[in-house]
Amino acid sequence: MDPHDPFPRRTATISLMVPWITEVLSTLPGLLRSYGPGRSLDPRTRERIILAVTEVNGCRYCAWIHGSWQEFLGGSVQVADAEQALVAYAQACAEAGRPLPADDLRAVLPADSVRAVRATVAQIEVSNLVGNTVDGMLARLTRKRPLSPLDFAREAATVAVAAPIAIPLLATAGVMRVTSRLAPPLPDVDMPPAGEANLLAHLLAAAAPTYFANAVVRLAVLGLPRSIAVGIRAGRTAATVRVGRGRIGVENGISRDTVVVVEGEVEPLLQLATGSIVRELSTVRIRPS
Amino acid sequence: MTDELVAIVGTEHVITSADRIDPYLADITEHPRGRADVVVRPGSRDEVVAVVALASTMGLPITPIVAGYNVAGIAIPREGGIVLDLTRLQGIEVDREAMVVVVEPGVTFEQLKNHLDRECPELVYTYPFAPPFTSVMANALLDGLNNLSMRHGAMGKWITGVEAVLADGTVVRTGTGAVVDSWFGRAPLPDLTGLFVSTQGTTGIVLRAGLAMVPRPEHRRRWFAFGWSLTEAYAAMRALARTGSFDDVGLMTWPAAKLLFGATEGFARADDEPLAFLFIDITAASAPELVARLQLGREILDEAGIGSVFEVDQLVKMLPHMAKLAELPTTLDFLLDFPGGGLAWVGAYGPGASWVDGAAAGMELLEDHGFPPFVVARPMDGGRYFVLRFVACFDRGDPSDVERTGKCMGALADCVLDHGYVPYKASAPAAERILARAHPGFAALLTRVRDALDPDRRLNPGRWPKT
Repeated sequence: MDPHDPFPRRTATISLMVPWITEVLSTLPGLLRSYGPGRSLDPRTRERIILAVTEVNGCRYCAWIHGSWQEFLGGSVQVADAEQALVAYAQACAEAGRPLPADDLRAVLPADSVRAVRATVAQIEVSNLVGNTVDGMLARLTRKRPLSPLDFAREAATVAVAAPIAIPLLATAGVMRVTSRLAPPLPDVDMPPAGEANLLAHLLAAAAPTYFANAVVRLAVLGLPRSIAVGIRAGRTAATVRVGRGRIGVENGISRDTVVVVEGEVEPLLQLATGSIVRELSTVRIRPS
Repeated sequence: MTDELVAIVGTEHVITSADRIDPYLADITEHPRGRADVVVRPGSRDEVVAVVALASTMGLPITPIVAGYNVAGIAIPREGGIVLDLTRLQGIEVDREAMVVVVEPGVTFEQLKNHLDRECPELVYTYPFAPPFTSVMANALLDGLNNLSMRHGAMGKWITGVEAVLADGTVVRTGTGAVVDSWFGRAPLPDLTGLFVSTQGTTGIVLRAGLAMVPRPEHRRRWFAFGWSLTEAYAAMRALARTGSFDDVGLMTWPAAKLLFGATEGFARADDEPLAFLFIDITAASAPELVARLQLGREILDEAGIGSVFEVDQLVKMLPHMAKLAELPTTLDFLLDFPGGGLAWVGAYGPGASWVDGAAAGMELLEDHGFPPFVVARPMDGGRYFVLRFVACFDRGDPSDVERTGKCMGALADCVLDHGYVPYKASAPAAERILARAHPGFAALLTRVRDALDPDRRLNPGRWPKT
């Protein structure tokens, strides 16, 4: 940053952008994989990393977009120990203003996940710099910063290039924020007494906050006008999940009124539940009751 | 006496007030409260030796304690005198080349793990299903079982030598550390270390112990799997243990899962619910080795009829608060959360041939006494013998519940002995039952050993009674 520039945040200058764009290009496959099926980075973790970097750089647009995204995804606000290392790495990169060696991450994460973390940090750094550039331009227009026509032109060009990506992202974030506001809160799960509920019923009840963390899921499923029952048979054990009318219930066995039964071994069902959808669909059967 | 003790350890480490002595007089088990005159908290080995020598001069009983979570009432003072709280002795010395760590009695599993992670991450010790604040040394001296006991046996076997103070204040050493400057092993000397293993502090107060460690594996997986009968579960444990390819295979019956999810009453196994949960730890030094072991494990479990194998990491992804099930040390802290805070068990080591019958009989006994049939098991020492541990949670504040628990534990001790199993960390009543069935020469030899080392029976009185 120019010490004589009263604008307090880093903006998209060539010297600041080049290392990050180079990093984005070198980790691009990792970035793409981190958004795809069987992804190497959990979306909630990705958003935590993004928000950690954004907090350092102070970009209010990225904070709003990804705050909306995080709220939309829902889930625990508690950060697991393993995530602390990722967040610390991301913050260190942001504070340094350049990509840092990821050797410490390699000790605790698979190579694919390390690439995904590096890529995530790089792409949000670029976004932060562009977002700050918008504010930098506004500061010039409102005379809080010297107008400096050449710099203004460079910043305007940067913003013009980024606008086709940024505007849809802002619109999407707006939709997500509205959806999050409309979605009903997660209710307590109705279930048999703890000593009688079978293991699957316990697991499903305990997993409800994960399953229903996403605002669209809550809006679509809990907002159903009538309750529907879905049977789950994992290995030899079965349970029924009943959702709708703002309530969630779990009971032992397959209820007679189930509309559909999902059957599979425990492992593919767990993997299905945790995101490896495409790979595991072939080993899970879904049949009408 | 108090003045002399203060002169040794300082005023702040001599406890004489009844309210501060009180926590030392009971533990989480059904065993009756004890009595003590004073609690002393020495801060060094020299101070321990001085306290023991003073007690010898004054003819006072000494009961050593660290965390007091042996679940057998072993550290409850029975005859008054001094409670020797060893928690302040926390020395750790690692011999990286010999893969041995020398610990003082107050070192906890949490401290040791943190120390190794920080100072020599290439090595690991082995961990029990115990709270992290419990003593590494006490667990070893009491012949407990840890997560590598399937491969390497009960924890007494991991001890490479000790330094101890006898009842008369004499300091002794066993193992190679008695001769050279390394506690690398017990061989080739006369194996005197056993004098201090499973004797429950009756032969001497151990000041430090050498413990074997193993290299930290590069790769690690933990599986859960469901067993639908004791026979299937035993077949799987036996087969996995005998390959020598797996770190650990353990079993818990269905009430464990209910307790994990907070159940405290009304335990009932649903018709379609597994009888037992197996956990299987697989480690390897390289990726191809891991792949081969995973494949072998799947084949063995399939053959034994064990279904629904899944990685604990997958479960943790869905339920992050279950992360403790994937970690080492793995603690069963939910057992300590039971209303009333009581936890009792009878754990025993015995032959695989009678494991299924013994497990079934013990489960029936638990149910007969109104407890859910909660069993923990594991093959030991490569499958040469097995563990059967019957667990009961109860309300310590309810005298009738305490009495019920005591009766149940007594019946279980008889039951395991009937099936050829020998209780470990034996409570005083269980020790009496062991001695009643032992070869007369065993009790005679133990008596002679104790006569030689503590003729007045002042060290941890009340243990191994009638010897």
